[in-house]
Amino acid sequence: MVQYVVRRLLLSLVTAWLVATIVFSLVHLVPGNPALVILGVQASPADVHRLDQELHLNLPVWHQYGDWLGQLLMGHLGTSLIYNEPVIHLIFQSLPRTIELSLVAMILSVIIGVPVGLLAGFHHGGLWDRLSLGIATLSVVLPGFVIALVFIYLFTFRWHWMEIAGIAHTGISPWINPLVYLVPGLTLAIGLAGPLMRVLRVEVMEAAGSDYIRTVRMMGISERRILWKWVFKNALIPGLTFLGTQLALLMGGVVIIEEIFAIPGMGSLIVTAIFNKDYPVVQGGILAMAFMVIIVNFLVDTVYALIDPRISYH
Amino acid sequence: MLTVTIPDPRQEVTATPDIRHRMLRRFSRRPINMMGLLLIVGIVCAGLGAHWIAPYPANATHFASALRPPSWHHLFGTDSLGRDVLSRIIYGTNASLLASMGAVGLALGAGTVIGLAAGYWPHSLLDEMLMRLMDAILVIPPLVLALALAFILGSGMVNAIFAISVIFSPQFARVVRSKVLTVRTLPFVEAAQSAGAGSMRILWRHILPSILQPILVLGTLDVGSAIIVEASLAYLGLGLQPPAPSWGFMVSSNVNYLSQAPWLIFGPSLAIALTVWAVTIVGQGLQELSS
Repeated sequence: MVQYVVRRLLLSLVTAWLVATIVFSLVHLVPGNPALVILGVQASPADVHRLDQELHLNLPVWHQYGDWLGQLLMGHLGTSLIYNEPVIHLIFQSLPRTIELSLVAMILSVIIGVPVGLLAGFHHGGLWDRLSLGIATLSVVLPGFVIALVFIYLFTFRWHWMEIAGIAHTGISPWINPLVYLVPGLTLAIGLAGPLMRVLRVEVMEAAGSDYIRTVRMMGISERRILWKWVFKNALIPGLTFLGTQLALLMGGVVIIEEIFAIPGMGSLIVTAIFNKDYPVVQGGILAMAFMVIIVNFLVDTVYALIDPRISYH
Repeated sequence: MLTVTIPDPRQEVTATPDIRHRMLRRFSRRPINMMGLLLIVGIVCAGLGAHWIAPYPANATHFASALRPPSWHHLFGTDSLGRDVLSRIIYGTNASLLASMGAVGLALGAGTVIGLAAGYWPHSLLDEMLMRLMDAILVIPPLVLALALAFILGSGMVNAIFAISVIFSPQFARVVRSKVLTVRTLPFVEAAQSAGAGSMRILWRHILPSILQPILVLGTLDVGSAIIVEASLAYLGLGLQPPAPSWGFMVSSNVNYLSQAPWLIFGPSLAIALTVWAVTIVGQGLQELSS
């Protein structure tokens, strides 16, 4: 067990280092001098030279890489070229919004996905199964931004329940109007709940047909009790693990949803930074999001190993 | 009714039953599969023949009839510049299909090469390096990575294709690797090895053909997701240069008219959803066949 966790931890660290390397090389993919690209072609040579110095672009690439990794280990992510503020501060300002939004999305997807998925698996071929297939299909074929705009149209223009500007401009606290988080959260949750339902459905069907369920059934235990005590319980673990593995995808969805609902989170931070050519913020932002995914993946794997003794420790 | 079956002499020659033919029949027996296939053919034809099919030119502005709701003249209405939305959707088909299929094709190629190498020499340094790199790509939120790449490389079709392909490659690499791991110990590969065939020849001539089917199925399913990613990039303004029509950008550029003219987002959204649905249905049909 300990060996398994240590091995997973080491793998996570290697992944983190490779992500850092990819993020470092992103900026060096820019054709030509990055400083010139950032400042624009009309920039004076003196300005370009100054930025070169500031970003250490005049050093050999491997030297820059070493410096960058060293700084990263100490928690320094550089300074924003636009806001002139440490990148880490900007991330700490934005990260809570993204975590809140992701949590709302996760909780909503469980509220929608778990009952429908379990019922669909139990009555497969029935009404719940069709409903789950319908939601899953919608979540696959519609981009998040379309679902978001449909919600904005309904909640803002039709029913006037919320402001379109979101929390960025109005400063409305989610405690005053929970819709500012619930609607974007629901948008993301639909994308998550669809696949979750399908996973749970298959798991319930598999569990219900397994030998141990047949054994319990032969012992004369009521169907309702079998469902709650054995079938659902066994189906839930893979379902929730699946949810954990979807975090990277969710973080990707967050980007566009935050843009649309004007939520000042990591997604908005990165998108704005990309269009501003604020490369230190782009690098720091991507790193922060990827590290979050790595940490959650590690936790999910560890918890999974704790819950399910059948998992191999190799 | 009495039917007499006369043995076909040609079947005598090819003694092995034509599996491919049988699978095709099984695929076509399900009406939903054929619906998906027909829809794809229709969409591709509409894109290729946009010039003849579209009722109006893609960029013909007509300010007098701006923001018109759907009517017989303009099935999906007109946008703020008076351009016919349906025509722009039809013209936008090519960009969407080309970008998504190009990206998946590139990802399939790169992922297959990586997966073949990693799976043929498992637990080697090469395998570890390649697969850890794939892990690293997978933990970066896909849309963020594609967005950053697309912006850094600059706008344009080729760059968008490359940016999208990067996020789809790891999946192919993983699937190919796991397939190679099982295939490489099978007798026909060992036979080729003992006959003295080189690694390249074994990978190319013996292993690749036997694992191609699941990869192509995965590729078909991925085209659907790639269409969504392309539309999302275009939505954020990182696709083709306007005024070239693209479905995602058609939605985002009309967001400000959402309250007055909600039909503006309906047309392009429907185009995205129908295309992704058709591709997904066909992909799932193929997946059922191969399993």
